[in-house]
Amino acid sequence: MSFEEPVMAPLDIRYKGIYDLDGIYKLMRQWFDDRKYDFMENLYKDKVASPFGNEVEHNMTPEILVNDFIKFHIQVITKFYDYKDFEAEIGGEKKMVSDGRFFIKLSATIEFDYQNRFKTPFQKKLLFFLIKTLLVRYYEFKYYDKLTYDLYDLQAKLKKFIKMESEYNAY
Amino acid sequence: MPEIRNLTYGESFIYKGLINVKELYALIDKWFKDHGYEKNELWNFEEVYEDGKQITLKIEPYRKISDYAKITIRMTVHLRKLQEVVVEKKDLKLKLMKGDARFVFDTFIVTDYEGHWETKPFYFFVKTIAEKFLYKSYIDRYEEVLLRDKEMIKRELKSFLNMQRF
Repeated sequence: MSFEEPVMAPLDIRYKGIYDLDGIYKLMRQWFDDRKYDFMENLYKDKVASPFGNEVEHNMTPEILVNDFIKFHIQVITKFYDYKDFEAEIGGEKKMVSDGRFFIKLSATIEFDYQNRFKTPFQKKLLFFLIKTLLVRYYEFKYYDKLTYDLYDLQAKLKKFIKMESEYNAY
Repeated sequence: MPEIRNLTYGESFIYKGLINVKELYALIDKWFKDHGYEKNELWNFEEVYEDGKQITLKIEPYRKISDYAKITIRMTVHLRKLQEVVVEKKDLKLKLMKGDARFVFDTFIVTDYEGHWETKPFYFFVKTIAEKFLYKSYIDRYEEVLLRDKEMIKRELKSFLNMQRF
């Protein structure tokens, strides 16, 4: 019986101003590729919602097999409102940029026993006992912390790319 | 459900003037890391309006003092009407922000944060008795640590913003 545990509260970035949508998408994609995540995109929506601009929505669920027992899942939900493309001169160079507001929500879960090896009720109870009581610190240090700070790293890279004031990451 | 003991609520200070927002954020992040707090960022909003930039930040770093209790400082930072200004300092041109800032601090101790002592009524009863009589001095000791930490970060921020300190 596999079961999933959230590692942290979702990280929320909201921004209103000028940004580069293609760049944000490429950065996230590159980050997952560098860490060898299997990239999956459940949703890619682009609709003309209002005269102010389009509404663009992504829902990505990359995952990685850590070992025979553990799998990391990351969920990225992005929603861009009033999205408009226009040409701007940045540093003497003409470039396409976007205007509008958006939010990016990052969350992560750890899936235990994804191969469903623990099937009988006794095995399920044993699994739960092992993960929740006996080996809880081991899993916390080895996997929960790693995934948490990986996610903070992605958040910091996104903030740096968007040129937000809070781009610094001490952790 | 873990039990939350609120120590201070809504303590705040306001500042108006020049701010180096990037360094301010770095200072907060670094301070909590150096003092053994885990990062927990709840909000990070940045919006550009006609009258300037608006930044809202809500962080809730925590420090686990044991498997049973953790201390938390919730800090909310509101930066409003931020306008970029160039300041000349020792023949160097610095890009800073000018605007209003508001810092709000809440502190609390969370006990039984893993929820082990709330699975059965008897466990809950034992937990309450232990917390009231056996474990009291232990938890109270960390109240002082938490309040001291809160005062330290406040002093650090005031010193960074060049405010009057008492």
